Amino acid sequence: MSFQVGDAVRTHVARATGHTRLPGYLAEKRGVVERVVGEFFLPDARAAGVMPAPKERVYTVVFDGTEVWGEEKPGALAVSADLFESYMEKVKP
Amino acid sequence: MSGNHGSGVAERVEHLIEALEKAGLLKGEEVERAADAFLANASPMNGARLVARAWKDPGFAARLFADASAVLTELGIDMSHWAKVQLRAVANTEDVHNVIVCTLCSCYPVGLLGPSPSWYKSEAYRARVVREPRAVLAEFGVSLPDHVRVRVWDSTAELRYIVVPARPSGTDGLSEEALAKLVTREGLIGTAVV
Repeated sequence: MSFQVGDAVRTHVARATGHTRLPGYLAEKRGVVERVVGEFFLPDARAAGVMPAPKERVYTVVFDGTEVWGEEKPGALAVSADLFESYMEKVKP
Repeated sequence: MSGNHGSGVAERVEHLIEALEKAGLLKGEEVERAADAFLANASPMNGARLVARAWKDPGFAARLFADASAVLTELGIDMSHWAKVQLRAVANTEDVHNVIVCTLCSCYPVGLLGPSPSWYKSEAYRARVVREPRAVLAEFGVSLPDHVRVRVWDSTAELRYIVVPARPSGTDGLSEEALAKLVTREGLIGTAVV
């Protein structure tokens, strides 16, 4: 599923094994797609030796500090990461 | 995920190079030549020139924030090492302070900022700056007014970030060269104001 700027997304659980570029602290968190970056080889597949690795779209997704850490004042902190499409799913805003 | 950048890694790299040489896959100086080429002209002065031009030229600033990779050539900065990554410039304003990190390893815009400082690669910085950026910034001597929002950019994929600090007041008459001298490496990472 591809996303558009402004879409609300929820990241999946962190992988139990293997390589991923989804940081653990941003797993199972709600964020908003801020920018569509482009298509890149999926690092999870490359690290597993899949040749050729599939390409996936990457999005800059922004998370509020409250969602990530719980105790921040809403709006005081925002953290963003560049995440591959299969790391997340669309949710209702 | 790479957590440790200590001597264990360097040792493993040495062993790997040795094995590749023995197998005839790699010649002695190839690694060094590649490393030299990668670091040639890599300096925070590149980032500083980018910022000074953006302060001086609103048209350039607009192009920089729209597509930073594309404007590097305007300053004669070699993009060949950036083939696979994109560059994004983010602006500090009265309301937003940006800071960059790579929590998973140590991704960094080497071509524009030179080799990264050791603290940037430390687990303490990487873990804390996404969790309590204000406290980390205070330790760097940056105290932000309460109304300023902090935006942390975690370079988790093929993007590298550079912070464009807010232009200091009283610098209206300065030339681009003089402005570039005001811009520090820490300012380009976001752990200092300029």
